[in-house]
Amino acid sequence: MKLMNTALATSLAVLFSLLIAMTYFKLRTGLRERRRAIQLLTEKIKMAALEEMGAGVAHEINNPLAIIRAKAQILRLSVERGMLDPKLAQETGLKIEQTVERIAKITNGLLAFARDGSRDPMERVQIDQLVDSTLELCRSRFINHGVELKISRPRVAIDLCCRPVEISQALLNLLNNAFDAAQQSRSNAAWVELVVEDLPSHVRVAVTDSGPGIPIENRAKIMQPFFSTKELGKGTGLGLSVSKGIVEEHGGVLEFRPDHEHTCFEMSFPK
Amino acid sequence: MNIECADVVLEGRKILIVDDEPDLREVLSARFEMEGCEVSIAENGQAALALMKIDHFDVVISDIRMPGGNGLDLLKAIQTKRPTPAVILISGFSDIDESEILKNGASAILVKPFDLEDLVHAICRALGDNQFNHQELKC
Repeated sequence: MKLMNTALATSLAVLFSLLIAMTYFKLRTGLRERRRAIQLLTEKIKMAALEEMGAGVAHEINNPLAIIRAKAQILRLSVERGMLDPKLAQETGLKIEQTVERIAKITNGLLAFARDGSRDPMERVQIDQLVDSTLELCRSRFINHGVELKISRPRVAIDLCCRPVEISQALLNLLNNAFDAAQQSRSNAAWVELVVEDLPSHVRVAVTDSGPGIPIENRAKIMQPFFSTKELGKGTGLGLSVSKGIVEEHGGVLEFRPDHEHTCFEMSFPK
Repeated sequence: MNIECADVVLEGRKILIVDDEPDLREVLSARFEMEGCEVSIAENGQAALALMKIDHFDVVISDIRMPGGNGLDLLKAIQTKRPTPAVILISGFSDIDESEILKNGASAILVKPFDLEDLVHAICRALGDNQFNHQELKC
Protein backbone atom coordinates (compact mmCIF):
# COMPACT_ATOMS: atom_id res chain seq x y z
CA MET A 1 0.00 0.00 0.00
CA LYS A 2 2.79 2.39 1.04
CA LEU A 3 4.69 1.44 -2.11
CA MET A 4 1.61 2.20 -4.24
CA ASN A 5 1.17 5.58 -2.59
CA THR A 6 4.81 6.47 -3.24
CA ALA A 7 4.51 5.39 -6.90
CA LEU A 8 1.30 7.42 -7.28
CA ALA A 9 2.91 10.45 -5.67
CA THR A 10 5.94 10.12 -7.95
CA SER A 11 3.73 9.78 -11.04
CA LEU A 12 1.70 12.82 -10.01
CA ALA A 13 4.86 14.81 -9.41
CA VAL A 14 6.22 13.85 -12.84
CA LEU A 15 2.88 14.68 -14.48
CA PHE A 16 2.73 18.01 -12.66
CA SER A 17 6.29 18.90 -13.68
CA LEU A 18 5.45 17.94 -17.25
CA LEU A 19 2.40 20.18 -17.18
CA ILE A 20 4.43 23.09 -15.81
CA ALA A 21 7.12 22.52 -18.44
CA MET A 22 4.52 22.41 -21.24
CA THR A 23 2.77 25.55 -19.99
CA TYR A 24 6.13 27.34 -19.68
CA PHE A 25 7.11 26.24 -23.20
CA LYS A 26 3.73 27.32 -24.61
CA LEU A 27 3.96 30.67 -22.87
CA ARG A 28 7.51 31.23 -24.13
CA THR A 29 6.55 30.28 -27.69
CA GLY A 30 3.47 32.49 -27.42
CA LEU A 31 5.55 35.41 -26.17
CA ARG A 32 8.11 34.86 -28.93
CA GLU A 33 5.37 34.75 -31.56
CA ARG A 34 3.73 37.83 -30.10
CA ARG A 35 7.06 39.65 -30.10
CA ARG A 36 7.69 38.63 -33.73
CA ALA A 37 4.20 39.78 -34.77
CA ILE A 38 4.72 43.15 -33.07
CA GLN A 39 8.10 43.43 -34.79
CA LEU A 40 6.57 42.81 -38.24
CA LEU A 41 3.72 45.21 -37.65
CA THR A 42 6.12 47.83 -36.30
CA GLU A 43 8.08 47.67 -39.55
CA LYS A 44 4.87 48.16 -41.54
CA ILE A 45 3.80 51.12 -39.41
CA LYS A 46 7.27 52.58 -39.59
CA MET A 47 7.24 52.54 -43.37
CA ALA A 48 3.79 54.16 -43.41
CA ALA A 49 4.96 56.84 -40.96
CA LEU A 50 8.12 57.51 -42.99
CA GLU A 51 5.98 57.89 -46.10
CA GLU A 52 3.68 60.34 -44.30
CA MET A 53 6.61 62.29 -42.89
CA GLY A 54 8.64 62.28 -46.10
CA ALA A 55 7.54 65.68 -47.42
CA GLY A 56 7.85 67.28 -43.99
CA VAL A 57 11.35 65.94 -43.47
CA ALA A 58 12.39 67.11 -46.96
CA HIS A 59 11.13 70.58 -46.03
CA GLU A 60 13.00 70.45 -42.71
CA ILE A 61 16.20 69.72 -44.61
CA ASN A 62 15.65 71.97 -47.64
CA ASN A 63 15.18 75.05 -45.45
CA PRO A 64 18.59 74.83 -43.72
CA LEU A 65 20.18 73.81 -47.04
CA ALA A 66 18.81 77.02 -48.58
CA ILE A 67 20.38 78.99 -45.71
CA ILE A 68 23.78 77.31 -46.16
CA ARG A 69 23.75 77.81 -49.93
CA ALA A 70 22.76 81.47 -49.66
CA LYS A 71 25.37 82.15 -46.94
CA ALA A 72 28.11 80.53 -49.04
CA GLN A 73 27.06 82.49 -52.14
CA ILE A 74 27.06 85.79 -50.25
CA LEU A 75 30.52 84.99 -48.92
CA ARG A 76 31.80 84.27 -52.46
CA LEU A 77 30.14 87.39 -53.86
CA SER A 78 31.64 89.54 -51.08
CA VAL A 79 35.13 88.29 -52.02
CA GLU A 80 34.48 88.86 -55.74
CA ARG A 81 33.33 92.41 -55.06
CA GLY A 82 36.24 93.10 -52.69
CA MET A 83 33.91 93.86 -49.80
CA LEU A 84 34.61 90.94 -47.46
CA ASP A 85 34.38 91.92 -43.84
CA PRO A 86 36.34 89.44 -41.63
CA LYS A 87 33.75 89.74 -38.84
CA LEU A 88 30.93 88.95 -41.27
CA ALA A 89 32.93 86.03 -42.68
CA GLN A 90 33.43 84.65 -39.17
CA GLU A 91 29.73 84.99 -38.33
CA THR A 92 28.76 83.37 -41.63
CA GLY A 93 31.10 80.44 -41.01
CA LEU A 94 29.62 79.93 -37.55
CA LYS A 95 26.06 80.06 -38.89
CA ILE A 96 26.90 77.52 -41.59
CA GLU A 97 28.34 75.17 -38.94
CA GLN A 98 25.23 75.53 -36.75
CA THR A 99 22.95 74.93 -39.73
CA VAL A 100 24.86 71.79 -40.70
CA GLU A 101 24.40 70.53 -37.12
CA ARG A 102 20.67 71.18 -37.47
CA ILE A 103 20.51 68.99 -40.58
CA ALA A 104 22.66 66.29 -38.94
CA LYS A 105 20.19 66.15 -36.02
CA ILE A 106 17.33 65.47 -38.43
CA THR A 107 19.15 62.84 -40.49
CA ASN A 108 20.44 61.09 -37.35
CA GLY A 109 16.91 61.04 -35.93
CA LEU A 110 15.59 59.63 -39.17
CA LEU A 111 18.24 56.92 -39.30
CA ALA A 112 17.62 55.95 -35.69
CA PHE A 113 13.88 55.80 -36.35
CA ALA A 114 14.18 53.77 -39.54
CA ARG A 115 16.30 50.98 -38.13
CA ASP A 116 14.88 47.93 -36.33
CA GLY A 117 15.07 48.62 -32.62
CA SER A 118 13.15 45.58 -31.42
CA ARG A 119 16.31 43.66 -30.57
CA ASP A 120 18.01 46.59 -28.91
CA PRO A 121 18.93 46.09 -25.27
CA MET A 122 16.88 47.99 -22.73
CA GLU A 123 18.70 51.15 -21.74
CA ARG A 124 18.18 54.06 -19.40
CA VAL A 125 17.44 57.21 -21.40
CA GLN A 126 16.18 60.67 -20.54
CA ILE A 127 12.60 60.93 -21.71
CA ASP A 128 13.22 64.58 -22.64
CA GLN A 129 15.76 63.58 -25.29
CA LEU A 130 13.46 60.87 -26.57
CA VAL A 131 10.60 63.37 -26.92
CA ASP A 132 12.88 65.90 -28.67
CA SER A 133 14.19 63.40 -31.22
CA THR A 134 10.62 62.25 -31.98
CA LEU A 135 9.37 65.83 -32.36
CA GLU A 136 12.25 66.56 -34.72
CA LEU A 137 10.59 64.13 -37.16
CA CYS A 138 7.10 65.60 -37.13
CA ARG A 139 7.31 69.21 -35.94
CA SER A 140 7.41 70.72 -39.45
CA ARG A 141 4.29 68.79 -40.43
CA PHE A 142 2.41 70.47 -37.57
CA ILE A 143 3.79 73.92 -38.38
CA ASN A 144 3.11 73.67 -42.10
CA HIS A 145 -0.50 72.67 -41.59
CA GLY A 146 -1.20 75.24 -38.89
CA VAL A 147 -1.64 72.72 -36.08
CA GLU A 148 -0.32 74.19 -32.85
CA LEU A 149 1.89 71.84 -30.87
CA LYS A 150 1.71 72.49 -27.11
CA ILE A 151 4.35 70.76 -25.03
CA SER A 152 4.40 70.50 -21.27
CA ARG A 153 7.13 68.63 -19.46
CA PRO A 154 8.83 68.78 -16.08
CA ARG A 155 12.04 70.75 -15.71
CA VAL A 156 13.80 67.87 -13.98
CA ALA A 157 15.27 65.04 -16.07
CA ILE A 158 13.26 61.80 -16.01
CA ASP A 159 14.97 58.50 -16.77
CA LEU A 160 13.11 55.68 -18.48
CA CYS A 161 14.37 52.14 -18.92
CA CYS A 162 13.30 51.22 -22.46
CA ARG A 163 14.16 50.48 -26.06
CA PRO A 164 14.24 54.14 -27.19
CA VAL A 165 13.54 53.48 -30.90
CA GLU A 166 10.38 51.55 -30.01
CA ILE A 167 9.07 54.15 -27.56
CA SER A 168 9.80 56.87 -30.13
CA GLN A 169 7.77 54.83 -32.64
CA ALA A 170 4.81 54.53 -30.22
CA LEU A 171 4.91 58.24 -29.42
CA LEU A 172 5.11 59.18 -33.09
CA ASN A 173 2.07 57.01 -33.84
CA LEU A 174 0.08 58.87 -31.19
CA LEU A 175 1.28 62.26 -32.45
CA ASN A 176 0.46 61.39 -36.08
CA ASN A 177 -3.04 60.21 -35.10
CA ALA A 178 -3.56 63.37 -33.07
CA PHE A 179 -2.36 65.50 -36.01
CA ASP A 180 -4.90 63.86 -38.35
CA ALA A 181 -7.69 64.33 -35.80
CA ALA A 182 -6.75 67.96 -35.05
CA GLN A 183 -7.01 68.81 -38.72
CA GLN A 184 -10.70 67.95 -38.50
CA SER A 185 -11.22 70.32 -35.53
CA ARG A 186 -14.63 71.94 -35.51
CA SER A 187 -13.23 75.17 -34.09
CA ASN A 188 -10.67 77.28 -35.96
CA ALA A 189 -7.89 76.47 -33.53
CA ALA A 190 -6.30 73.10 -34.29
CA TRP A 191 -3.88 71.90 -31.63
CA VAL A 192 -2.15 68.86 -30.21
CA GLU A 193 -0.87 68.75 -26.65
CA LEU A 194 1.94 66.53 -25.42
CA VAL A 195 2.28 66.23 -21.65
CA VAL A 196 5.07 64.39 -19.85
CA GLU A 197 4.59 63.92 -16.12
CA ASP A 198 6.82 62.46 -13.45
CA LEU A 199 4.50 60.69 -11.01
CA PRO A 200 5.60 58.78 -7.86
CA SER A 201 5.20 55.29 -9.35
CA HIS A 202 5.25 55.91 -13.07
CA VAL A 203 6.00 58.25 -15.96
CA ARG A 204 2.94 59.52 -17.83
CA VAL A 205 3.09 60.60 -21.47
CA ALA A 206 -0.26 61.90 -22.74
CA VAL A 207 -1.19 63.10 -26.24
CA THR A 208 -4.42 65.09 -26.56
CA ASP A 209 -5.93 66.66 -29.67
CA SER A 210 -8.56 69.24 -30.53
CA GLY A 211 -10.26 66.91 -33.00
CA PRO A 212 -13.94 66.00 -33.06
CA GLY A 213 -13.45 63.03 -30.68
CA ILE A 214 -13.97 59.29 -31.02
CA PRO A 215 -17.60 58.15 -31.29
CA ILE A 216 -18.67 55.98 -28.34
CA GLU A 217 -19.43 53.00 -30.62
CA ASN A 218 -15.79 53.00 -31.87
CA ARG A 219 -14.04 53.31 -28.53
CA ALA A 220 -13.93 49.60 -27.76
CA LYS A 221 -12.46 48.85 -31.20
CA ILE A 222 -9.76 51.49 -31.55
CA MET A 223 -6.98 49.30 -30.15
CA GLN A 224 -7.88 46.38 -32.42
CA PRO A 225 -5.52 45.71 -35.34
CA PHE A 226 -6.76 46.94 -38.73
CA PHE A 227 -9.49 49.12 -37.22
CA SER A 228 -9.26 52.61 -38.72
CA THR A 229 -11.56 55.60 -38.93
CA LYS A 230 -9.27 57.34 -41.41
CA GLU A 231 -10.24 57.52 -45.08
CA LEU A 232 -9.31 54.54 -47.21
CA GLY A 233 -5.58 54.36 -47.94
CA LYS A 234 -4.64 56.93 -45.29
CA GLY A 235 -4.30 54.81 -42.17
CA THR A 236 -2.97 51.28 -41.76
CA GLY A 237 -5.28 50.57 -38.83
CA LEU A 238 -2.25 49.19 -37.00
CA GLY A 239 -0.78 52.25 -35.28
CA LEU A 240 -2.59 52.00 -31.97
CA SER A 241 -2.47 48.21 -31.67
CA VAL A 242 1.27 48.17 -32.37
CA SER A 243 1.89 51.06 -29.98
CA LYS A 244 -0.11 49.22 -27.31
CA GLY A 245 2.02 46.11 -27.90
CA ILE A 246 5.23 48.11 -27.60
CA VAL A 247 4.14 49.84 -24.40
CA GLU A 248 3.03 46.55 -22.84
CA GLU A 249 6.35 44.94 -23.77
CA HIS A 250 7.88 47.66 -21.60
CA GLY A 251 5.58 46.77 -18.71
CA GLY A 252 3.47 49.85 -19.31
CA VAL A 253 -0.09 50.68 -20.30
CA LEU A 254 -1.49 52.54 -23.29
CA GLU A 255 -5.08 53.61 -22.90
CA PHE A 256 -7.71 55.95 -24.23
CA ARG A 257 -8.99 58.33 -21.54
CA PRO A 258 -12.78 58.52 -21.96
CA ASP A 259 -13.01 60.88 -18.97
CA HIS A 260 -10.97 63.57 -20.74
CA GLU A 261 -12.69 66.60 -22.28
CA HIS A 262 -10.81 66.06 -25.58
CA THR A 263 -9.39 62.95 -27.25
CA CYS A 264 -6.56 61.82 -25.01
CA PHE A 265 -4.29 58.77 -25.26
CA GLU A 266 -2.00 58.07 -22.38
CA MET A 267 1.10 55.91 -22.03
CA SER A 268 2.25 55.01 -18.50
CA PHE A 269 5.59 53.40 -17.81
CA PRO A 270 6.68 51.97 -14.45
CA LYS A 271 9.70 53.69 -12.95
CA MET B 1 29.42 96.09 -60.04
CA ASN B 2 25.78 95.75 -59.10
CA ILE B 3 23.39 93.52 -60.99
CA GLU B 4 21.46 94.88 -63.91
CA CYS B 5 19.54 92.58 -66.18
CA ALA B 6 17.32 93.39 -69.17
CA ASP B 7 17.34 97.11 -68.35
CA VAL B 8 16.14 96.51 -64.79
CA VAL B 9 18.15 98.13 -62.01
CA LEU B 10 17.66 96.59 -58.59
CA GLU B 11 19.12 99.50 -56.65
CA GLY B 12 16.45 101.39 -54.71
CA ARG B 13 13.79 98.71 -55.27
CA LYS B 14 11.56 97.88 -52.33
CA ILE B 15 11.49 94.18 -51.55
CA LEU B 16 9.38 92.37 -48.96
CA ILE B 17 10.66 88.98 -47.79
CA VAL B 18 8.09 86.68 -46.14
CA ASP B 19 9.30 83.47 -44.49
CA ASP B 20 8.84 81.87 -41.06
CA GLU B 21 12.52 80.92 -40.99
CA PRO B 22 14.46 83.85 -39.40
CA ASP B 23 17.85 82.79 -40.80
CA LEU B 24 16.49 82.65 -44.32
CA ARG B 25 14.87 86.08 -43.97
CA GLU B 26 18.19 87.44 -42.75
CA VAL B 27 20.32 85.91 -45.53
CA LEU B 28 17.92 86.96 -48.31
CA SER B 29 17.83 90.49 -46.88
CA ALA B 30 21.62 90.58 -46.87
CA ARG B 31 21.74 89.51 -50.53
CA PHE B 32 19.36 92.23 -51.76
CA GLU B 33 20.88 94.89 -49.54
CA MET B 34 24.13 94.15 -51.40
CA GLU B 35 22.28 95.33 -54.53
CA GLY B 36 21.13 98.52 -52.80
CA CYS B 37 17.53 97.36 -52.36
CA GLU B 38 15.35 98.53 -49.51
CA VAL B 39 14.33 95.31 -47.74
CA SER B 40 11.50 94.65 -45.27
CA ILE B 41 10.70 91.32 -43.65
CA ALA B 42 7.59 89.54 -42.35
CA GLU B 43 7.21 86.13 -40.70
CA ASN B 44 3.93 85.15 -42.32
CA GLY B 45 1.21 86.20 -44.76
CA GLN B 46 -0.80 88.16 -42.22
CA ALA B 47 2.22 90.19 -41.10
CA ALA B 48 3.08 90.83 -44.77
CA LEU B 49 -0.41 92.14 -45.56
CA ALA B 50 -0.22 94.42 -42.52
CA LEU B 51 3.05 95.88 -43.86
CA MET B 52 1.56 96.27 -47.34
CA LYS B 53 -1.21 98.45 -45.93
CA ILE B 54 1.33 101.09 -44.95
CA ASP B 55 3.91 100.65 -47.68
CA HIS B 56 4.21 99.72 -51.34
CA PHE B 57 6.67 97.07 -52.50
CA ASP B 58 8.03 96.36 -55.97
CA VAL B 59 8.60 92.69 -55.22
CA VAL B 60 7.31 90.23 -52.63
CA ILE B 61 9.32 87.04 -52.08
CA SER B 62 7.24 84.63 -50.04
CA ASP B 63 7.48 81.10 -48.70
CA ILE B 64 4.43 78.99 -49.55
CA ARG B 65 3.72 77.05 -46.36
CA MET B 66 3.92 79.05 -43.17
CA PRO B 67 1.94 79.10 -39.95
CA GLY B 68 -0.34 82.15 -39.71
CA GLY B 69 -1.21 82.92 -43.31
CA ASN B 70 0.40 80.98 -46.15
CA GLY B 71 2.00 82.23 -49.37
CA LEU B 72 -0.87 81.19 -51.65
CA ASP B 73 -3.44 83.21 -49.70
CA LEU B 74 -0.97 86.09 -49.70
CA LEU B 75 -0.54 85.77 -53.49
CA LYS B 76 -4.31 85.97 -54.01
CA ALA B 77 -4.62 88.99 -51.68
CA ILE B 78 -1.77 90.76 -53.51
CA GLN B 79 -3.51 90.40 -56.88
CA THR B 80 -6.21 92.82 -55.66
CA LYS B 81 -3.63 95.55 -54.91
CA ARG B 82 -2.84 98.35 -57.39
CA PRO B 83 -0.11 98.72 -58.44
CA THR B 84 0.46 95.00 -58.06
CA PRO B 85 3.91 94.00 -56.83
CA ALA B 86 5.69 91.11 -58.55
CA VAL B 87 5.44 87.95 -56.45
CA ILE B 88 8.08 85.23 -56.35
CA LEU B 89 7.16 82.17 -54.32
CA ILE B 90 9.73 79.91 -52.66
CA SER B 91 9.14 76.49 -51.10
CA GLY B 92 10.93 73.65 -49.35
CA PHE B 93 8.34 71.24 -50.77
CA SER B 94 8.77 69.96 -54.28
CA ASP B 95 5.19 68.64 -54.58
CA ILE B 96 3.72 72.00 -55.57
CA ASP B 97 1.32 72.63 -58.44
CA GLU B 98 3.49 75.10 -60.37
CA SER B 99 1.05 75.82 -63.21
CA GLU B 100 -1.80 76.53 -60.78
CA ILE B 101 0.39 78.95 -58.80
CA LEU B 102 1.59 80.76 -61.94
CA LYS B 103 -2.03 81.01 -63.09
CA ASN B 104 -2.81 82.76 -59.79
CA GLY B 105 -0.33 85.51 -60.60
CA ALA B 106 3.09 84.44 -59.29
CA SER B 107 6.00 85.52 -61.49
CA ALA B 108 8.16 82.53 -60.56
CA ILE B 109 8.47 79.64 -58.13
CA LEU B 110 11.78 78.46 -56.77
CA VAL B 111 12.31 75.29 -54.77
CA LYS B 112 14.70 75.41 -51.81
CA PRO B 113 17.66 75.15 -51.75
CA PHE B 114 17.59 77.47 -54.76
CA ASP B 115 20.52 79.34 -56.29
CA LEU B 116 20.43 82.96 -55.05
CA GLU B 117 21.38 84.18 -58.50
CA ASP B 118 18.32 82.39 -59.95
CA LEU B 119 16.24 84.37 -57.49
CA VAL B 120 17.93 87.63 -58.48
CA HIS B 121 17.31 86.91 -62.16
CA ALA B 122 13.69 85.87 -61.50
CA ILE B 123 13.20 89.26 -59.83
CA CYS B 124 14.80 91.11 -62.75
CA ARG B 125 12.54 89.26 -65.19
CA ALA B 126 9.46 89.91 -63.04
CA LEU B 127 10.26 93.61 -62.70
CA GLY B 128 10.80 93.82 -66.46
CA ASP B 129 7.42 92.20 -67.06
CA ASN B 130 5.76 94.45 -64.53
CA GLN B 131 7.19 97.57 -66.16
CA PHE B 132 5.91 96.32 -69.51
CA ASN B 133 2.49 95.57 -68.05
CA HIS B 134 2.22 99.01 -66.48
CA GLN B 135 3.09 100.68 -69.77
CA GLU B 136 0.42 98.56 -71.45
CA LEU B 137 -2.11 99.64 -68.82
CA LYS B 138 -1.30 103.31 -69.44
CA CYS B 139 -2.10 102.94 -73.12
